Amino acid sequence: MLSCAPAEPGDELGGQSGSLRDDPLELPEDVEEIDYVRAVDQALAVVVASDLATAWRGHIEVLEAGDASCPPVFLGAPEDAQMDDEDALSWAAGCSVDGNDYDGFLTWTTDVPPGETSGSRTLTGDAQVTRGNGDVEFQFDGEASDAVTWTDGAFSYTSSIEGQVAGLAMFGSDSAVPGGFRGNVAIDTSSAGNLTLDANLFLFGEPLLGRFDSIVADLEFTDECSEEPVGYVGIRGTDGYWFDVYFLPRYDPDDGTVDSQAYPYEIIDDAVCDGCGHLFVRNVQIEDVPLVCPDFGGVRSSVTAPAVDEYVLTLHDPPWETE
Amino acid sequence: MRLAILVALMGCKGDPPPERQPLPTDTGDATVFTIDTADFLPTDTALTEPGTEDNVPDNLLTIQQSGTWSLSPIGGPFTDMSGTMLVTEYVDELDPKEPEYACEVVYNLTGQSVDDHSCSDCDFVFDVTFFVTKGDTGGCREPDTPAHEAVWQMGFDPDREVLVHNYGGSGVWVEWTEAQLTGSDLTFSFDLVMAIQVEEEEDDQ
Repeated sequence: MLSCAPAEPGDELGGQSGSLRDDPLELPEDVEEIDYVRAVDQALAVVVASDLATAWRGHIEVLEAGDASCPPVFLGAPEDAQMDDEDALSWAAGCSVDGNDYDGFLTWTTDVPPGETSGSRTLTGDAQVTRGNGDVEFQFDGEASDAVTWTDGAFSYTSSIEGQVAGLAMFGSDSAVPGGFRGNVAIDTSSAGNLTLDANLFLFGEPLLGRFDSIVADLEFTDECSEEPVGYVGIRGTDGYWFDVYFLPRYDPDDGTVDSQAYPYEIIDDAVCDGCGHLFVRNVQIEDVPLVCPDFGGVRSSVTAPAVDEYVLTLHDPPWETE
Repeated sequence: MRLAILVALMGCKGDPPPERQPLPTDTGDATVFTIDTADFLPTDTALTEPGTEDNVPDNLLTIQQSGTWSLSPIGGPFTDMSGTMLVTEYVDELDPKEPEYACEVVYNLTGQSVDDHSCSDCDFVFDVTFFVTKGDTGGCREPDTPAHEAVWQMGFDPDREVLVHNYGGSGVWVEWTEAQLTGSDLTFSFDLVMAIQVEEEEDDQ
């Protein structure tokens, strides 16, 4: 029989921080059977893979698959666009080539400042490329940006995506995100080991471990502890249950602020730098499940950054056919 | 709708009706909605503005960039170059009798060879300075049109017969134009037609 965290003195909610629930929590039947370490590892792999670099590769791939007239590439904004960006490139289409149907529009910019080994780019639009058999080759609906700086082989990289990204051009069966995702994800990392993840994703396709279809991550590795980040990771089961793993406290529980009270850190009495987090289900701590110790070293070492040449896109050597 | 609500409210105040409506009888034919367990990939079915229903743009921009390099000393190895470059851009059709360019710029080019460079495919590399002698690059839409007095590191790749340049000094060498080297003369040209949005001028009348 599982037990929840004992009530703290003066706590009338039975240790269910941030919740008005005062009835016993009905737990999922498989709460003891779930491999939380594997689930969190996979969730973090999904978040790390959900960057603009991945979406950009799909964007370039469908440009390469087009021909000189489909999709038509515009210098500046596409026709009838309610935007004014002469520096952007874009495509807008409802056309087909080689069995691929292009529909919607995309606008993008790239910038490599003179004399620097850094680059930035943006991607905005609502576009879909579908294969003749109905498979989605590329889907992007939203806006994204990223930037990289390389110095003597070391990089710093930031990426932000808000929208829906899917398609076989980016996410194959061997991808951490085979079906794509909808939501927002921000990544800030460097080859020095810095890593901040802020994500709220719903996954398309097969759920993680056949069980989890959504991810929330609010993690930051700090200088104080290289083994464990501050923040938490949440994974939502297809049954609607959120399973949250809390690591080092992001806020001091004694602050009394809204932020500090929004998380149940006051319940965790051994929040130490050991690489392990405490499992909560619907904001109730599950003490009979062992601490969850993800492979943070693997996550941090798996982070990569695009090379600067991926940010160089000139009209003199474009990825699309011009004749 | 208002009448129905009013009647309903009035019904609440009064006595219950003498005869209640009979409850529906179970016919035994329950309609069971099946659960769709297939993977669902939502598709935005809304009208996608500013998408177009065809792929024929209303306006096209033609970009032309061409020129020559004279390399010296004759016979090489080349240490210096001088040359010219012409950049023109026009929208849609060009009247050959009265050509009206959106952008027409003439450059003089000078350059000195560079020994310490990272272009492994290049026969020779120069620091090329672009001097605008006629026109203004401000009207040119091609985003990488060289500015007045810009200095680019450019090289010749003989296998692909192209001029390449160190993009913005980033160390990334990208193709610039097709090029042909004949003796100590190098000619290059680049043509591109792009779709473009042309804003309609507002009619003040």
